[in-house]
Amino acid sequence: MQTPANESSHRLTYVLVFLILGGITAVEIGLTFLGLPRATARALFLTLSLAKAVMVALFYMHLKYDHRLYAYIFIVPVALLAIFAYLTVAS
Amino acid sequence: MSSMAVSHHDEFKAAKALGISHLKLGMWLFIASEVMFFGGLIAAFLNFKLNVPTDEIQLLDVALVGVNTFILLTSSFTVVLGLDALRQDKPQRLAFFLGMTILLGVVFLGGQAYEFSQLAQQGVTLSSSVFGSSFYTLTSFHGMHVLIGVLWALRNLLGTLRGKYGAESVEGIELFGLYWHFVDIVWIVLFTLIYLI
Repeated sequence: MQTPANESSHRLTYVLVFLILGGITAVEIGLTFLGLPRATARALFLTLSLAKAVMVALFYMHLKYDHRLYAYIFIVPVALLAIFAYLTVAS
Repeated sequence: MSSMAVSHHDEFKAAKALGISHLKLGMWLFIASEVMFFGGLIAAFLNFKLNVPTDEIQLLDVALVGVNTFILLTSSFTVVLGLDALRQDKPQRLAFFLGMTILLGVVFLGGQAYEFSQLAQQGVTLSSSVFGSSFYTLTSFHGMHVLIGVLWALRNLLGTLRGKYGAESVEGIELFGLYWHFVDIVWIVLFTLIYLI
């Protein structure tokens, strides 16, 4: 059962995650105006979006705190999606 | 009989034969199926984007959609704050955050509608090109998910105002939160694949 201290710490985590997500989004928009080489830009954007998605999943969807089974249920189709998308694009 | 006297607090106490909530397990399995659903659409869009290049992609307004992305991220923030408030047995604060979530969701949908109207004026429609078809299909399906989430949030708000939720019955809001955050994650991916790369 959560203690008041734990509840407060989660709220601070939520705020920090929100600020980081907002900051990353601002950085992404800024990068679009820099005219970076395509390969560099794609690698940067994919990495940043992966970071945002992971943070939402871990902290907002509580995968970090919940039963591991939920994480496996989520990760397996995501991995399949990544493989499927790669094969579709590569063909 | 005691089994007949079920309080409204028990409504969302799901069976836990596996040691975990069956309702929550069901929601995660649903999310897994949604990953595959969006996966097919994303793969098709990527295929067209990379193998059938078009100048229409230059018409996309990254700044506008970037603001819209921030709005959706903020709505995820309000959802998680609402759940946190409920766990502290503060349903009034939950109601506030649900109201904010609904407002932000509606603003997001309005932003999408505006973007669609701008693109349509420039000749990018569902039937104008392969890019148009895949773009509108992908973003519209996501928009439909946001709309469903907004309606679900509205239902939750009405339930909260009627005293349906409390510190002992949070699962309904938790399940909604999982759905909403997933829709947010999908948009994070779509924003990157459609507008950034």
